[in-house]
Amino acid sequence: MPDSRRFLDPRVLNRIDRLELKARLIVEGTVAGLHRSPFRGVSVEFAQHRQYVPGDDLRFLDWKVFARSDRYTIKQFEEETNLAAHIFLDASGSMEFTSASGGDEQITKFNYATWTAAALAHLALGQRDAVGLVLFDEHVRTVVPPAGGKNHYDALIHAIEGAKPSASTNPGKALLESANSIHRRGLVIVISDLLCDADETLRALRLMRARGHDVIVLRILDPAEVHFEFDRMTRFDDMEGPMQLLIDPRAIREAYLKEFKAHDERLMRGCVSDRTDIVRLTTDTPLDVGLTAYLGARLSRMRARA
Amino acid sequence: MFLHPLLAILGIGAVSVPVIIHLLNRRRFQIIRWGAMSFLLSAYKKTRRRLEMENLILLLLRALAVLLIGLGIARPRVSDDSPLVRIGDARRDVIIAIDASWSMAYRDGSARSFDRAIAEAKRILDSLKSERQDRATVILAKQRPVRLSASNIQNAKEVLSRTTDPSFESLDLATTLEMAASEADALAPEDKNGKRNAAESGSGVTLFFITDMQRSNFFPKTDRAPDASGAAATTSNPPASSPSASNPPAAPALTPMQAAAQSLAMRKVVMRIVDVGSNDNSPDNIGVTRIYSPEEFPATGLPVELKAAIHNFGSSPRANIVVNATVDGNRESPQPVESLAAGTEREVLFNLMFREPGDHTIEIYTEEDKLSPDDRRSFVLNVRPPMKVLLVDGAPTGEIETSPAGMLAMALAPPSEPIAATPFQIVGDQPVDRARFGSQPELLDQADAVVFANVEGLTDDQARRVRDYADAGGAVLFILGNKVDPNSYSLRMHAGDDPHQWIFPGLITGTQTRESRDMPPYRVANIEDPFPPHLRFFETPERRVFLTEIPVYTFLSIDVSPEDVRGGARVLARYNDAQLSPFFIVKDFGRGHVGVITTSVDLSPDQRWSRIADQPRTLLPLLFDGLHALSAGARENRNVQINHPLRAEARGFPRNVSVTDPGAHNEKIAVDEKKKTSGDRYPLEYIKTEKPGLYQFDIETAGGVGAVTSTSLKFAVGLDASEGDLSRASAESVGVTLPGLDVRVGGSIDPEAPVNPQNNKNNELWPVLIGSALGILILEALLATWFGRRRS
Repeated sequence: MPDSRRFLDPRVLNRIDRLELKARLIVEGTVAGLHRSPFRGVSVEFAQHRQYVPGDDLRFLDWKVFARSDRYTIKQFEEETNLAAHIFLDASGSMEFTSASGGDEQITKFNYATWTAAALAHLALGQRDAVGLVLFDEHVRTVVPPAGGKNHYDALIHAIEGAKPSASTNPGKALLESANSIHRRGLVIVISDLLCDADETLRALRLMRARGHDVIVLRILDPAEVHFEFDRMTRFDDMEGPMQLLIDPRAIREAYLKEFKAHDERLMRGCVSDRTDIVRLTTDTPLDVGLTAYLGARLSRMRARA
Repeated sequence: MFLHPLLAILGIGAVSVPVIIHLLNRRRFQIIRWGAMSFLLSAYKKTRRRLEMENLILLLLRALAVLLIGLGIARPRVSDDSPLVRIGDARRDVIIAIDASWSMAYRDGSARSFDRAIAEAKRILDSLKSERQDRATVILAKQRPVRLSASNIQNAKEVLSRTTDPSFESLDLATTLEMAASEADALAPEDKNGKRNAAESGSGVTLFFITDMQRSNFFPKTDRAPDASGAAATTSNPPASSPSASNPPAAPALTPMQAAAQSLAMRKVVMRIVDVGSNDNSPDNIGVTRIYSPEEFPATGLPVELKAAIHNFGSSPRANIVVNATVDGNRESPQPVESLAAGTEREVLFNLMFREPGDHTIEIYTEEDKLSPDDRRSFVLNVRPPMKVLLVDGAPTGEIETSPAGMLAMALAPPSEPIAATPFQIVGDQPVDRARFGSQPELLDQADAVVFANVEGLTDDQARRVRDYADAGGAVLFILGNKVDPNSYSLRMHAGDDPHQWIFPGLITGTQTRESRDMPPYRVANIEDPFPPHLRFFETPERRVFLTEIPVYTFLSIDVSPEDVRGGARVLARYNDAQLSPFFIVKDFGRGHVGVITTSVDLSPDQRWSRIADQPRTLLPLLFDGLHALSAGARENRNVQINHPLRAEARGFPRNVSVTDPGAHNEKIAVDEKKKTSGDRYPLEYIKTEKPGLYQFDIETAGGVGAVTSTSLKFAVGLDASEGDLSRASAESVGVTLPGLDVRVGGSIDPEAPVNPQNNKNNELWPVLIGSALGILILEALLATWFGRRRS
């Protein structure tokens, strides 16, 4: 693994305190493995010339300079801020779950979600996109309107860092509540575990699509929630309520997985039919997956516009 | 039910262990704060019912396994009537005791009781399985029970096929049961010390007793004499005719039977009595139970009465029983018994006369009936030759009336009688005086007895000779008279440190005289109890008066000191004076006997030695019985019971001794030269008297130079007649006589039936319990795996 990609490992990132630093490392790690060109964007406003390196897109080769100086030069343009990314970050109680008992691996879903959100913000701002943030649980808790610039980034980081998970999840309700406040069409990124009623969530996502937003759902789950591999008597305490259940997990695993899969499939199917991107992440997944999904979506949106 | 009941309780308690473990497990859990609660809840709702069922099944299986193990450790045993006993079908230990008393020869139909007993024993053996490690011990039950085979079934079968006839013994049930108890010990497992004790481990043995249920076996006479000596050897007590079988005489102490029953019960032996006897409760049987001669000392030439007792053991009267007799092989005229009531006995009299001395064989028999062994009985009558008496006269006068010995010679051998008709012979045909007695020692060697009548005293030499004579078995009788010198007697015959060597059993202290003839004379009183044979004639009250017919005013009193008593002196009869002076003293001296009679001493002017001669009714019986009793040491018992030894003596070393038994089987007897007794006599003994009838000893001794003397001695061996009483004990009464023992009686007991709830080897359930517990645990593991697999 190249050095830059090391930081995509959640366990490594977990050792780093500052969220901005984490965000930068994630972005750099992600970008280092990709072609750079697409991210320079196609714009009218020329920025500079740069030496051609093998792998650059030949479309941006400045043929005139080549004719003149017999050197390969790449034309670079300043990107326009033409995209507004709305990050919906789930800060409900269930996001605080982690199956690991301690050490580097003790990464809650919310940790993972915040890192992803911060990295997205970093990346998007770096692309001169406007980034907004909605923190929600059952309701919308905090809203940071989309904007660009370094100061805005600090505000985003501050908002993310200040969030503490609590209350129950309802992304559908949060989306519906904030739908009217998002005027500018853009990219809606929902970072949540989506452990809630699938139909309601899908209805909200469909509404977002209907308003002309591109929707990316980053579904963050703990591996334990996916595989349910417990081997001893366990009392499950509800993170979002007072309920407790003492049970032998081995006995119930089969039924649980069935339930889980049914829910998962309904979400997947709903998203696919609405042309919503949905990516399921577990907290041990390298963090670039989320960013790549964003970049892919952005690129396709740019192309569609172009 | 349980060997360790406490463990059983613990085992039952252990059922709670899986439940407790389950509850503890529920308390040991991890807590996880969980987000995806909705999935969990709906999954839980869907599976809860099935999970609970599975868990319940597993819990029950575990509890059951623990319960079975717990109960198994407690070593449960099932009772024999429980169907569970088939589960614990384990080794069976059996002791078969077959009644082999001669009553089992009773023939009812084509087979004897004994044949049925053998068949029954074989049936029991056939029901055993050697592959199940069953064991069987076979005992022949009789007076002296015998173990035929131990433990091995095959061996037992072989032995039984060779056993065809019952013995001629009676049955001693108590001894048989004791033997069974020790056999039960032998079948018991060894304990830590390598000892076998069924009382501790509980043998679990079943004792099958196959018998004809004779009541006398179960309720034996406690006073049954093991043997009787003399002519009445075959006498036995007439069997009880009272039908109160269920009321045996209550004894304060434990009877041998009760003790045996207790010892069996202690070993947890279960007794099953198999009845192979007659259907009749009191089967008919006529038996010759006894033969005897009332004649104390039968001798040649004298009429001898012989009595045979015929007993009707049946329940109905019998008539016209013919009693036959043969004497020395010659038939006497039969004596009829016209009628014999049920349960009674009648004596039949035969008048006999013998010309020849020696052993005469007599057989009394009746017509053979269903029980034949007691239809014939043998008897040997030892007819003595005339006793040779040496009379030593202390005061010969030449006149019969005044000479003491002349008087005695007249009494013992009246000259008018033919020589063979008298039981006595005078050595040298007439009395001898002291001088001749001293000069002719060979006279003493010819005599069976010597009588010193009114002898003043003996010289040292004479005294020594008399001592040697008595020591060798001779009879010596002193009759004191007016010539007797007390000093001489005490010096020559009562001197020395050892009272056993005193030939005269006392010290003559002087004369005892009534002051006046007006006073009543001294009488003989105080006769020793039991009545001494020396005075047997006077035993009945009518004859007792004859003994005291002599008017005794003066007699020589004798002091029998404690020293004398220690030396063997016995006072048989005493006078009624103040000191209770002795009248008749006897003493055993070596092999012989010494007697002293001190009687009326006549101090009147005509100087007769004694007034005893005045009363022949006193003198004759006193002399006859006294001499016979004193010489009785040489008498041998010729009539014995089954299994009692025949004993005889040979004079001089026997070169060849053989015994012929009733079956004409001849056997040599070894004689141990070292066992020689005094007088060159060798004891002979024969112990295999297993059959009733006549036995004969043929003894060859070397006599003189190259000459061989042959002697024949005859013996009769008789059955225990009480065994002829076939009346049967009821099944209920058997429990009374064998208290505390698990007894059942039946005509044919199913040998396969589980019989012993106490059997520690058999009927054990623990292997089954532990085995099924293991099976359940395996099932539990499989089920748990399957359940687990379904969950994953």
